[in-house]
Amino acid sequence: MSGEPLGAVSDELRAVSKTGPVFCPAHSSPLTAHRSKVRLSMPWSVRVWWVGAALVLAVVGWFKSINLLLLLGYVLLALVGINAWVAWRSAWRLTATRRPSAPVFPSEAVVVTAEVANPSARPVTALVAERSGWNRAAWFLTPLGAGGSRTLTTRWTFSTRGRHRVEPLTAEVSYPFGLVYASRDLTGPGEVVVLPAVGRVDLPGFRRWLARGASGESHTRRPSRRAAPGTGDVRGLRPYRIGDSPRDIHWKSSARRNQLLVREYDRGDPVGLVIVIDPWIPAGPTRPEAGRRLEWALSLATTLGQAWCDSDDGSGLTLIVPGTPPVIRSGRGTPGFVRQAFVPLADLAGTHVVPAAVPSQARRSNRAARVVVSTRPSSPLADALRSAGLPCVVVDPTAAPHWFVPPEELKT
Amino acid sequence: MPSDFAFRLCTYLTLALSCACIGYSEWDLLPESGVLAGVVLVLLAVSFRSGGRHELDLQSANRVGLVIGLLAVGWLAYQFINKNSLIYTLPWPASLLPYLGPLLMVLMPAKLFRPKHVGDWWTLQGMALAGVGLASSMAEDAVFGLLLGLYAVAGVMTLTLFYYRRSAGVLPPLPHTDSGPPPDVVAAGVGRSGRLAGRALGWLALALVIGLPAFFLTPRSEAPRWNFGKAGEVGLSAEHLSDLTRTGDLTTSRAVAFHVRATYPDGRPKDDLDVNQRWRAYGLPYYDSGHWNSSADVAPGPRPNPPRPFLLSGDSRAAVRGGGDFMLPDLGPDRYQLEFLGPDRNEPLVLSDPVAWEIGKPAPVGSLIEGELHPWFHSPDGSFRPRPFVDVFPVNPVHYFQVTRPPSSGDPDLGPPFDLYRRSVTIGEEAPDPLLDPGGPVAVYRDVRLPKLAFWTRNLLDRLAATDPDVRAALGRAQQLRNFRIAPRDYEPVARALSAHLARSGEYRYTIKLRRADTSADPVEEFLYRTKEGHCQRFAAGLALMLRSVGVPANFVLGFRGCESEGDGNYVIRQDQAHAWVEVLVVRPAPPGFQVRGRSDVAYHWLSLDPSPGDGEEESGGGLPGWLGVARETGAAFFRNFIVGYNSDRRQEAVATARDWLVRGGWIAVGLLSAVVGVLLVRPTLGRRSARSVPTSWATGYGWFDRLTSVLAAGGYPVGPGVTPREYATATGSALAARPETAAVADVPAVVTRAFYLARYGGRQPSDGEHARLTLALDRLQAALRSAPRASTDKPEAAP
Repeated sequence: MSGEPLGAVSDELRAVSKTGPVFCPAHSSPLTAHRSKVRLSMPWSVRVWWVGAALVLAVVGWFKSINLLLLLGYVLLALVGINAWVAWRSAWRLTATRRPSAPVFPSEAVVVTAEVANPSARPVTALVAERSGWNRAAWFLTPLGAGGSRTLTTRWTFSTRGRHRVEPLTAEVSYPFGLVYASRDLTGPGEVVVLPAVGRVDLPGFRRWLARGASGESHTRRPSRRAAPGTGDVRGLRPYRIGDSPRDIHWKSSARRNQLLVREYDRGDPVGLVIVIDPWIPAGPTRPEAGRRLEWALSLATTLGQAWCDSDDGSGLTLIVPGTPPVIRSGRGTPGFVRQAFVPLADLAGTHVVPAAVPSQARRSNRAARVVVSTRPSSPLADALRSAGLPCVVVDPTAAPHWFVPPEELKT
Repeated sequence: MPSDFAFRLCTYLTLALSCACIGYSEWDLLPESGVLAGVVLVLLAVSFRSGGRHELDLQSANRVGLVIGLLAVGWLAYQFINKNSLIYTLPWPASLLPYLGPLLMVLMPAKLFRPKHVGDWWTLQGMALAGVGLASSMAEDAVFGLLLGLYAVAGVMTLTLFYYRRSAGVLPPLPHTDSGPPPDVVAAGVGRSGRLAGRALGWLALALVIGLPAFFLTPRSEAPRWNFGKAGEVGLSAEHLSDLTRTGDLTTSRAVAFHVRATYPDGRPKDDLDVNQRWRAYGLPYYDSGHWNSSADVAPGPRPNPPRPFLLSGDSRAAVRGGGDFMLPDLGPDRYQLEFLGPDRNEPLVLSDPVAWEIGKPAPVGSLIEGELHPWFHSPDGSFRPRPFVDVFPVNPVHYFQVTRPPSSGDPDLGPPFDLYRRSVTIGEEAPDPLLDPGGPVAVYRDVRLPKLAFWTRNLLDRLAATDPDVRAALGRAQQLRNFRIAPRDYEPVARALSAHLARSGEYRYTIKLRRADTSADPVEEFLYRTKEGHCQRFAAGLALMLRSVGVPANFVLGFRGCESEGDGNYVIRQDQAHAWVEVLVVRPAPPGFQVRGRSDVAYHWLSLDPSPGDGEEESGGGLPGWLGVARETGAAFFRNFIVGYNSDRRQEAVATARDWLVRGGWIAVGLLSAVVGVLLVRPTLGRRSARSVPTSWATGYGWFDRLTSVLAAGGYPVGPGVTPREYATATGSALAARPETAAVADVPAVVTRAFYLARYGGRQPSDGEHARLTLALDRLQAALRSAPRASTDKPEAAP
């Protein structure tokens, strides 16, 4: 799996004709059928005991002219050969495709799914194993019928952010005797993207803090009055219905018409949020404190993004990670979007050289509030934004905003 | 997933069969081993029945192991104290092997009552294999082969079931090993024991197909095998002895004993040699406790005087001188010459029996030494022997000639006459009757120290006398003699009557499966009184001792019977044609010109009598029983001749036969077979390569969608390069609609592809009803494409 976002389903359908009639996605390889070589191996215990016993029987039988012993030794060796052949054939017959897994947050279960198929005309008995770090799962197919397929699913959890490598889905066949193992990678390696840990954000509190912080800073442009509340322009009046707020009653018109009339609003354009990450860490050996600051910043950004997207006002969200080139994710703030948009934060490492260039996307809307999430109190990146006439607020670990409760692992 | 019951059943069956193999193989050596095998089988049954509920903890198991070990040590100590135990009666190291069997058998249930993990199951199977290997070195008969085959089938089944249980994580792994979490068992498709047994048989057969050629092609070792006192092979002993105490199944050896070339005086080959021709090797006059020996020194105890030299009479003495002027005698117009080739000089020399010889003529046998023919002479026991001077046969193999003629129709088994008087007696002088002289030369042929046998033989003769007047008269005359002795004139009728009784009364049965009901009794007496079955040596020994017990001089003779023609007067005699019979001293009127020292009116002859009733083979009936009988016999013969009896001689013979078969056209069959096997082996590879190089369909794991692409590909609509399923469905739908034969099914690709998209990317699997509809649509598509001419594949129509 590459570092690019996972493609939509409709993008995945491209048939590869030169290498075989299989489906592959446009950007990544979750559905790519994999054809690797079959590796044969024999455990040392089998080598020592089984083959050793066979050789001892054969040699004693030959030397002392005890034909039954000699034949018994040969049969034992032949069983090893048969096992190797059957296992090799079985391992070769299997094919598999792996389904992509959506990015998850730490301690959130990720569903790892693969589809194993047996397109051959004979049933296959195999042990299929999936592994990623300490997470392991295995399925014993007893057997997978001719032309059949099985969807194998497991749920794993990861405690740290990052791109966790999922080892190739491996078929291990030692059918029918368990003496010789034929193993083959049915798929290429995959990965599970684990986003930074999320805490809790008091979104109204954040909005108030945003408004207050903006007004408190003279060089920050005051946002639109209507940015903070969630209402829009008055479109007209309509008769009162049960449940309408009394504050919306237009008393003058009601009095004039002798009927309760309430104001009807057009929903205003939602206010967007631009989160700019400043992943600065001091030069030199990485100290734990610096790492904690970075994790705190990433956690805050992710939590903020998630809370922003969970709100139902449909406002836009933009994530900017400075770099060369900078990573910019922008879209309508939906719960699905945030997982894709914040993938770059999964493996974002701190740097002591943070480019101070202002990406063009940072100035796309005057209605957007800009928050620079930094690991340091005075962020050059925020200064650059302000210099470019783009008002922003900066939040860093030392600020310890009241509206953010970091995850448990960052509280210490 | 096979059940736990099936796994345990197969495991216990394997262990039980291993115990049965051990018990069976050691039954003749250590009877207590057979009893122990029965006890262990009961324990296995109890353990199986209890289903592992009575497992011992590790400490208790160790205590039980300690007790077993102490008992084993005590038992072995007793065996060391007992001077009659196998430790002292069998050669080292074979003497220790039988004691390993009981130890292995005891350890099996002890191990079963311990907590079990994967290693314990491996250990159990290892013990079973060790037991079977041990048993294989001690038993080789067909019954054991059957037990071994059953063990092999059960073992392969157990191995497979063990693999299933292990892979499914049902069996606890080895301690201190990280085997990961137990896997999820995804599908259940195996478990029927019948199917598994069939597969096990198939795999075992395949293993035999691989192992047997290697077994047959392996050069054989010349080292002697361990001797456990078993019956061994049918064959003539070069050590001039016969052991009747051996038990077990005799195996046949196709090794060549010697070659004979038969020619008439004019050089024409003689191709009509009697197929039952006897070839006499040597006689064994001394009997003691089941052993026949050629020398009195072998057996302890008082012995009569050794036989004194019998002297040739008349002109034959001249022949003894030998030399370059020796010529084989002229025995008449129907005489023929036998040229013996091949026997090693350390092997017994054989002659056609009976030897044809005429009074006053040279010996009918001569050795070819350095181009000169040297005559043989009359040996003390009446047979002809090479001259006992300096290196008689400096060349090897031995090369000698015998002139003979067809036996007379009246006395086909009568040997040449010979003198029986002492050397000190001169011709014409009065001398005591040599047959009645207790210290005379015949005394050794009357030696029998089985007191009950004389009484038993006399009772038998009384029975026979009821129907045989000659026997009745002989008994009458014998009762007149002191100590009831058959008179010399009655030797022949009595001997013939007893021989006929053994051979034709039906009371005795010929078999090469040698058993003894009472090992403390004399083997011959046990044969005559109880078992009444055995091989030719038992019959010959029985007759010889019966005759001796009533005073008739008789000799136990070993040699061969039969010959295989190789054409052009050449014959081969093999070890499995070894035979035993009896020579009885008979008195006949002296032929003209024959003079002996005491008397001139009688001559003494050895009369050969064969008391064996034949091989006892029953005619196979028709139908299934007959067919089964033939199959059983064929299998047993194959097992006997080509498995346990396969040696270097048989290997050479098999190679020569195979070479001859190949030369005579067998290479065509081999070529055809190789071609078929090659095609079968290569076809899947070719199929894979072609499928890889020319992709025509998809393998998505959704059977119905894959079927769509394969059906379309077969109908001439292969998958084009770089198309998506939807594009492919659209293109093929258009192509199908353009042809009147397939227009009705033009919608099928789109329908199936839509279902595929929903299943694969929408996560909505087709319901049973939808699946049935898809199958129906695919059937319609397939039928339509079959009836329509195949679309051109030069330019894939489906490819955009």
